Amino acid sequence: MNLIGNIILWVVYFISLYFSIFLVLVYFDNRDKIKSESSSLIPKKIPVVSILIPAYNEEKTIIGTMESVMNINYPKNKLDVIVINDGSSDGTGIQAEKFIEEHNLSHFKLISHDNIGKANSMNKALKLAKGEFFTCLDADSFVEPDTLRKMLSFFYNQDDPQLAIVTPAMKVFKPKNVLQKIQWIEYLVMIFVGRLSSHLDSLYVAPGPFSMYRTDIIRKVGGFDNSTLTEDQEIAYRMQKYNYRIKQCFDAYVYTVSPHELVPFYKQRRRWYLGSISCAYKYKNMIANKKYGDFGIIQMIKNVIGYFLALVGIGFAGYFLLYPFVLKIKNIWMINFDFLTLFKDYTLLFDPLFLDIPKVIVFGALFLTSAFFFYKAHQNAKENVNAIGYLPIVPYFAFYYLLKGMILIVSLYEFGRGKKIKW
Amino acid sequence: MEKQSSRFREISKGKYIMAGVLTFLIFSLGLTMGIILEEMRYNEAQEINEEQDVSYLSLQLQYLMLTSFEDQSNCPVLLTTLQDSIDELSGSLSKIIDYEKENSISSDDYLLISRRYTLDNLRYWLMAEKAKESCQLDMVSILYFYSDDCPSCPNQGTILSYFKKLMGDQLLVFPINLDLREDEAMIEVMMSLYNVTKFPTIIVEGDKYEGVIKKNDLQEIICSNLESSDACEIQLEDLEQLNVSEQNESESSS
Repeated sequence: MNLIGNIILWVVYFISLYFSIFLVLVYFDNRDKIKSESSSLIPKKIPVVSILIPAYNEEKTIIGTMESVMNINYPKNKLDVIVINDGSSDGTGIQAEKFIEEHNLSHFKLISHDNIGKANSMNKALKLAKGEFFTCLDADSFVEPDTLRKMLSFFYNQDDPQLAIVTPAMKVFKPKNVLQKIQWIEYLVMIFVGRLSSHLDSLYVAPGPFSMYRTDIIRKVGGFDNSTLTEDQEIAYRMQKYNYRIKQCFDAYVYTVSPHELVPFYKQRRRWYLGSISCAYKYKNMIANKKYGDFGIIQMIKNVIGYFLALVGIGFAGYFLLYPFVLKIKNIWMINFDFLTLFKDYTLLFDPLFLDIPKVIVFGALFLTSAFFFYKAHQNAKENVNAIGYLPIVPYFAFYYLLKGMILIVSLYEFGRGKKIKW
Repeated sequence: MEKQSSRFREISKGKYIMAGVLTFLIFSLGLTMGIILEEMRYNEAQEINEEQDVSYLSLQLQYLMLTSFEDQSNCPVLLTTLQDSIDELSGSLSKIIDYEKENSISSDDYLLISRRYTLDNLRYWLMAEKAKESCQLDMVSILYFYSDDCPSCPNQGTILSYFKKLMGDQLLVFPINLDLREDEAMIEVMMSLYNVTKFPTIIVEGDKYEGVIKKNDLQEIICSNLESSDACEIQLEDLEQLNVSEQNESESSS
């Protein structure tokens, strides 16, 4: 056990370090490009853009979402806003209707129908859409007034007919509790990693809130898949498969409300993971497929190995941390928790010989790369880095990874059993 | 549609290799330093052994003096040396055990050191038994048989080190790792001497106790073998105080 366990552990360290270092190299390789990248608010053309707001029981946030769309800095006659009330049982439809009437929004259209799910709603809107570009804003997300212009400029500056999707930089909306603050940092890191992946043409997700599609291309590939839990990942995988490009517009900010409690958080992540596992499975032909370049070789392999790393990580955390901890408690319980006597004359001597140097060096390298990403992610998203302010979050991060890992295990298990879940 | 142009698809071979090389370098650095450290650890363990040898020689000589001249005046010195040597020995053991824990693969060096440690423990135990007789020392010695594979042994270990801390010089604990019995014949000798078949087993002044001995039971066993001890008296005082306060309560209530 000890020998095999150690070999597995070292393999895990090696893989983790390899991928971290690879991303650092990608950053340094594209550093000049990243530094010189600037956004423009003046697109070369002003095309018609269709914006879909699908809503299912979102009476609390729908007004904010619609307000942010109303305030988009773009000619109203070039906007085609479709609000879909997907069989909500709360006041979503009434709220939306009232809002359109109050503000006299002639470019908004409200459609209500029985609950058919998000992907079906999106396909319905896709048929109705008049825009050259199609985007979708979940009813729990908000868009900055300039985001649309930035994304359009980006589309035109790339000047590539194969460019099918431009993704935004998604941030957490006003984080309040610890869970949301951790997600806030996580999203910043995702923006930065997404930017690097964008340079490698390896984006594998087009975030639900405000990813912008070329309407004709998305129609050509058959619209959104209603059989998947994460249609935003499935569409990205499909685009990659058909060799269309996906790019991230690094400063097109979109804000989304993140779960503030464990149960909704669990449900959201389980949906993500189950969706991503089934997507990886569906597009398994692309794994390690040279035809797809870095996307097939690095990204797909990383996505699949990620499951393995998480599984091993959780297993070992349980074996090396939890189990000895339980034993220790039992030991101390045997002496009725009389700590004072046990620690009498206790001298804590630091013996450098005691350190396991190989581990220290590998962990040091992993820590340094993480710190680098942490710092760069803040800088990239134009947020202040205040290390002291984030220090209390460090212990939570350990817990957070454990939590995410456990949700992933549940998801893998459910995928293995072939169980279908609803969201 | 799949035949569409994929001219933008690139494979960043250079970066794959570079990342591999860098990762490999970091690992090699770690491994090299680990090997150097291993060497240093072994040297330190050797040094500890040499020190042990010298203190044992000193002890032996002191004991010889004691028996040859039947002079009990050097009993206190003998006792101090004995205690110091045993403390040193247990200190060095915890170090060696820590080293071992950090090592993924147990080495022959470690086996040698562990055998050496067991033998040292046994000769101190013998010496302590003899010294107790000649100097009429009021102390208890416990032989502790354990195995690394036994899940309840750490419980017994914690209780024993608890009493060692509590009673200090009046209690001597000699741990014997039964996992080494195939390599060290002396352990087999000890096992058959006390007919040890299970672990954990403790031998207190010649009496065998099998299984985990709980805190209160062990206290009773130890105290019954001592003429006087602070640790044992505290317990009695506590009881007396409890009785007094109960009496007071009953008085005040009446």
